[in-house]
Amino acid sequence: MDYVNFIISTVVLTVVALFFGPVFLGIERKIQARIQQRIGPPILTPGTWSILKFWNKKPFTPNSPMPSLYHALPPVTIVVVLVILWLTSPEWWGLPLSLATLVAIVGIMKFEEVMYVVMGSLSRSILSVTMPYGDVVKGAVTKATIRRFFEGQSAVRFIKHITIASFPIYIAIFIPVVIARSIFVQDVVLYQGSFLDLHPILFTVPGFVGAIVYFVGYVAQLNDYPFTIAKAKGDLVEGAPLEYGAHARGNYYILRGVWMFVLSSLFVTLFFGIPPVVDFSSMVGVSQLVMHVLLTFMLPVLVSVLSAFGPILTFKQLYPVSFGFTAIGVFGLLLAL
Amino acid sequence: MEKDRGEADVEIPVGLVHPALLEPYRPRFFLQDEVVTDCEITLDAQHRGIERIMEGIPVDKCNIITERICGICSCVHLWNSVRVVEKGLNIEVPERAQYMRVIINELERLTSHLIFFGHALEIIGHETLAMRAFIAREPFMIMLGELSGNRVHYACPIIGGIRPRCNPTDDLCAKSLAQLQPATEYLKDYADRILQDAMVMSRIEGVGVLTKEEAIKYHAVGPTARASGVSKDWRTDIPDFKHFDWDVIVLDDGDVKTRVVQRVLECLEMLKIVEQGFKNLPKGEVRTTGWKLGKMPITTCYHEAPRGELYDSYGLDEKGNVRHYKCRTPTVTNLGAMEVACLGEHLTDAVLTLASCDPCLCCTNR
Repeated sequence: MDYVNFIISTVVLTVVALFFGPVFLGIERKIQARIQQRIGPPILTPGTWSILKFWNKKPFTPNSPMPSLYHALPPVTIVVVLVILWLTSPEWWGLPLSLATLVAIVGIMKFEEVMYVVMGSLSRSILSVTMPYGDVVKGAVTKATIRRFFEGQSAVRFIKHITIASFPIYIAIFIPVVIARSIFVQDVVLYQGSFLDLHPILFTVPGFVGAIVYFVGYVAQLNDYPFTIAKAKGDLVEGAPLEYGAHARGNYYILRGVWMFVLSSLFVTLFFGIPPVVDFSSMVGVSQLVMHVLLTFMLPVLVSVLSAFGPILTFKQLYPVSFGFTAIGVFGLLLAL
Repeated sequence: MEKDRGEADVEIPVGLVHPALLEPYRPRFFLQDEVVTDCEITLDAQHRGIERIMEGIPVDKCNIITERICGICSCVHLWNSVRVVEKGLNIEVPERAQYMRVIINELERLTSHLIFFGHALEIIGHETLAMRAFIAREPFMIMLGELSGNRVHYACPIIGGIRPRCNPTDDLCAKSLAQLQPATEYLKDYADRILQDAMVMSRIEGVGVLTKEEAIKYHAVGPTARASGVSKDWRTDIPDFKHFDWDVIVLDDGDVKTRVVQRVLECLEMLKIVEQGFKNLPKGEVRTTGWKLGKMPITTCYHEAPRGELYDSYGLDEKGNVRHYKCRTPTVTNLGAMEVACLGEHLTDAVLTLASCDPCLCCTNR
């Protein structure tokens, strides 16, 4: 293994993800604003300048039984999700223990989902139970044994969300696996040919079905509209991340942006056959990275449009939608067989 | 059959500060899993003591303060307060002033209903349609600004008529009439867009049902009651509205969708009234003079505010100062119905159900 290239590749991919991820947040907001006939913020404001602003704010101690852990969750999760990006890079394919497989990637994705459950359990904002208001007084209704914070309810919803809404993206990830007959990222990429002679899985029938299902799963993974029940503004305000302020809020935005980039990058790698290669020794290598980054913009743009036109789905709608797209994914798997 | 207030495992208190509530009130939801089995709403976090302020002040000042009870339905508060004196002292109002009062009031009702659409759609998470509600609202706000001089507190009715600055010229009437046409078209397209959106419908259809029996039992008023089959609109009892040809919209289903549809149809009736008002606006004076303030027994007037029944009552002493002012706004009578309507719903839908009854806590906590 060439350790110099390994380190350069890892650092470059990290920088790319940390730069473009937050830009996606701005693109999302801008597109939604234009659809809503507003000017909207400058593209760099929501994801870049606002993060710098949050980092420079006075430190804020959240109402949490374990504030340090609560604050540590976004940075730790950023590193964990970056591992997914690194594992799709050719420099990491040679790692032992079969880490560069889609099974390992799905396992790592679970960490991000569970992180929200922990986040919700650790937050106690003033907006619900601890609001200084005389609820439990003579004559008031007192029948429940637990008085729950918004964030606690958000954690409960995240558990349901993990159980139900994650199916589509996992099914979609395994469609290229079935087509390439291998769980290794390397095999899935090589199956689609070299960069100058590509035959993307996306342009096959099962690949196209998988891409649609992946897109729905992508929106669900991002907890973006319409799959934002666990963070529904209408009742839970923002759910688990509610108590993030100052630098922690900035970190949370970075996490969201990086997660968007990593999932988009995974899509480009699996369905276009263009992995995030860092090779500055040739024009082909540079072009491949540029093409990869350009294609990662596709899903955030589509998400922005969907989010602008989709109301929050409650579990009543979420179950059939999730199961429906899971069924379509299974159909795609059968086609791939 | 009436809904049961069942046992609960979890309580989630919401508010006073919350993006879905807009104003400070405190609903406490009692849940089994995520289904609301009981709900209790508490008020008065922003009590301003307006009724106490009124005691002993000149009636003209009192009327101006009544307008400050609410920023959304300010005109109807002022108008109803003025009607109390006019009724108590038998003061005639010129026909042109009656028309203008109705026009301003119905434009205000339109803007209020459009805020409702924006609020409800924001809660279900459809930000685009919520934003468009405010785009649809803007022409009516501009019209109100041009007709009265203000976009929010119009200060139009005064005892015996309307303020002279609210007396439009023929040119202004023609201009307003011309503005009405495109605004109406946009509103109709907007309403169609909401009602044809399958995802929006899936969120509001069959949710938050308030039956006719419950609406009567808990004394629901206004559009909330009329969407549950209760045919009561105080405008039918007010002489100023007799000049106009319009219908009271009553629907039966009582769910959130019906409350939205009821308001959409009501908006079209308001537009009919406003159009007739501009077309048939009579010539003449806009205020009567020659009346004198004096002792007046406690007199009561009802009006139909955008959210329902509005009640004002007071008397005057020998100097024309207000005594025993009392006001009851629609939301306070709707609260019981709101609590019942959200029983059996998912927590997210319960908040939507409360919003669909269009509470105004600014009026209620006056």
